[in-house]
Amino acid sequence: MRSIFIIAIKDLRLLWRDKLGLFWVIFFPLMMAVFFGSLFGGLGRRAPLPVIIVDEDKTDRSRDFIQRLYSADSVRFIKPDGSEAPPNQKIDVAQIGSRNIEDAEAMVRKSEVAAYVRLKPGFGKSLGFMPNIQFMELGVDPARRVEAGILQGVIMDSYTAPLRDMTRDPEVAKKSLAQAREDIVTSGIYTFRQQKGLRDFIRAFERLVVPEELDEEVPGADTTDDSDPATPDAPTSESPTGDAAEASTAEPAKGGEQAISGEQAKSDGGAKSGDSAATSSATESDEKEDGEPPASSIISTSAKIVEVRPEHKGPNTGYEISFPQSITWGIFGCLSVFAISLVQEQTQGTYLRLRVAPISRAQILAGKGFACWLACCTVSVLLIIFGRLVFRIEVDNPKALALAIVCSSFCFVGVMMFASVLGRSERAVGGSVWAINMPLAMLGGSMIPLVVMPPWMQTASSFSPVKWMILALEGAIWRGFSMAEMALPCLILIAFGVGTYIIGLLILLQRDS
Amino acid sequence: MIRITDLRKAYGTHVAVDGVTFDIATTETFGLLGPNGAGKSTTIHMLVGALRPDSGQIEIDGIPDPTRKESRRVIGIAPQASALYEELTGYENLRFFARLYGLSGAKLTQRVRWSLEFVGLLDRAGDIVRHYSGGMKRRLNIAAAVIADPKVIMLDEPTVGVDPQSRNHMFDNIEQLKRDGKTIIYTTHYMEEAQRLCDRVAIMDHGRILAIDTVEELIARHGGHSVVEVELAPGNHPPAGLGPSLQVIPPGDNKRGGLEVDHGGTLLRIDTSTPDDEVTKLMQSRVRFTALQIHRPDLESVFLNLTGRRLRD
Repeated sequence: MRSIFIIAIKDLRLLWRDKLGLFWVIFFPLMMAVFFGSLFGGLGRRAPLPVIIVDEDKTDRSRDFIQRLYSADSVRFIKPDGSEAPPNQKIDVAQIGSRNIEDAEAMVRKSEVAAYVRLKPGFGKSLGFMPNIQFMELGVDPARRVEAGILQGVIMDSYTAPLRDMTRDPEVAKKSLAQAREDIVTSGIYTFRQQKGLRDFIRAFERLVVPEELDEEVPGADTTDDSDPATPDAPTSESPTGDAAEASTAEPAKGGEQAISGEQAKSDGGAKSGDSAATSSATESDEKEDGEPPASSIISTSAKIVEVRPEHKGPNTGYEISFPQSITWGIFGCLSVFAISLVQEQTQGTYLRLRVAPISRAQILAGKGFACWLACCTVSVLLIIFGRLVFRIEVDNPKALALAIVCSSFCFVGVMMFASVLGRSERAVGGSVWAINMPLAMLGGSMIPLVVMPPWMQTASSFSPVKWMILALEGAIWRGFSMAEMALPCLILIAFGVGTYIIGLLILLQRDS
Repeated sequence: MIRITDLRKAYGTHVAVDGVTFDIATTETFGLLGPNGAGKSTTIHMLVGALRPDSGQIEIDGIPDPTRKESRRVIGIAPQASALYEELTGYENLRFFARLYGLSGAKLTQRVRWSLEFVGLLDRAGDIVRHYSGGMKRRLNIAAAVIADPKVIMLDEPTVGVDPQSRNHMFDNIEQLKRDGKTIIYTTHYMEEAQRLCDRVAIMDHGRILAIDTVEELIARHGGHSVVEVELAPGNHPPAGLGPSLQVIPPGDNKRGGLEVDHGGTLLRIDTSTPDDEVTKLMQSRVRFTALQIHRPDLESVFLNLTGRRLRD
């Protein structure tokens, strides 16, 4: 074992003195990580999409929608004069919006904006909590369909924001639902039968989102609907505005009893002071006693569902994709340096001197392999530390990451051994190393993402250890793999390493003899 | 100390070593003399266990297998290539190799220092080997061979490409090792080195040993006669009474005879076993001459006589 360490230390010292080798092992992968991380949107947010607004509806709801859209990080508003509306302010739609659709279309055509969002008259004419999306038009440049897709997502987010607010805040829900009841009657577009159906829906929805205590605060808010006679053609005589007024002015029964959303409870961090803490405890006890959580808890648990299914979690930044890939290049660099150094030992005669020393050939190769493994691990750790400190990479599972690095490094020690016997000169081995690395990298998704490959190539990629290495590293960093889930890629990496090491060893033994 | 019996090694159809047999006594300096490709290095590689022979036996210090650790502990080698890590310092190189032989602590430091001093590189110990001259690398190569104080030292053409100063230093080193009682195997194709350093010499060609003996015996048995060459002054003629093998070569005929002497006058060439007598006769004849050379037989002559060609052909 002592001899193995002595040889390994010598090889690491040689690597340290080889400035060009260090470049390929550390600095080149780092450059790749930073470059591709930036390409992937590495700063954690995509550049906001430039959009122009055409508000032809000019209602409170259209203005509310625009304000919500304006608050989205992914969008920036461009004024008709081409300047950008300042962020994080209460905006005046009349000033930032285009006066007519033709101007907005022209700006899209000239690529001055990615899209226009047109709110036609009637947009705000709908039930109280949602504008009428039929009156919205999204004008996009065909060449920017990807951005249009992103914009659609942002718009839907803003569009459904009122509904989300209702589910989070019972008070908002009560007000919105009261407004909806009023709209059902005043809009004049629904038959009595439709009105009744909508009222039934609103009542059911109200039971879901408004806690019972608040519901009781406004007795009869909608209960009369159930006893309404079925008079299909006559408009309702009920006065929804009265209900709404009562609902909107209703105070929570007791401050300490007010339900809070799960998100709020989470943000309180379990503090046991004040009303919120008391409410949180009450909610938990209710859940235990009834075996069924209160309505507000059901709705607010959606975020938690994402957390318990981490395989659906994406990377926080592009660097969480680029750094695992860069580790591939770092390990390739080590592989190259050590494969060439092994053949250098032979061409320079030091291998003969090692062979004559009172150590076995297995110890010589183990020392070389150990040095390569240590270098691979060190480079991987350095890259991760750099990514963590500079680019805020978050590691979901440090133990799994350690396992991934250990197994990946082991795998490529085997590849190094195999590559080192494919030539008898440094030049030949150097060429062989890259002849092996390139197909492995391309096939394994280190250069071209697997998702853009044709199906047959995706299947073929399973034969590349690079795919399993990246999977293992990503699994530990952002895919949220458990140790059990790490087993498959790690076992494949180890098997590949053992296989290539044995082949390389057999060729070397044959050559020596 | 070393016994090799009927050693053979072939690469495909090419037979590199063909039935080599010899013994080397303790403290003896044994030369393997032969042209490039004669099989000297292959023999050395099999001796140190780096190459497996196709057949034959090798016994070193009573150990029948040179690949065994006990056998390797008594061997030090200076391969034909420098066999050093160019990016390490001289000190780091020697320290690394010494540690592989199990040296540590004060003993390690003492041996590294001794070896550097032995080859005259103590003042350059901290320099990166890449910055050494060719001669310095060769000397460090020898230092690495003796770092673990082995009983047997194999020097495989240690002076190839070395400047005269470093070569003389290396000769001094090898003579010192001889005095220290080391057993040395020395391969070379420089006959003068073998003649100076070796107690016995084996002449190899095409993988076979052509002759083994002391230098004197080899010359006596295979070296042939001495040659006396005299260049006469203008107007002088060959005297009577010189040996029956006298050759008279006219001026300008440089290529005649076995020796290539550039001469402007008439050249006399006498093949004789008693060159001193021939020179005495020449002096007594009062003939005037401008140059006189006596070529005694040496290992080159031995090789020429044994193979029909020169060592460096």
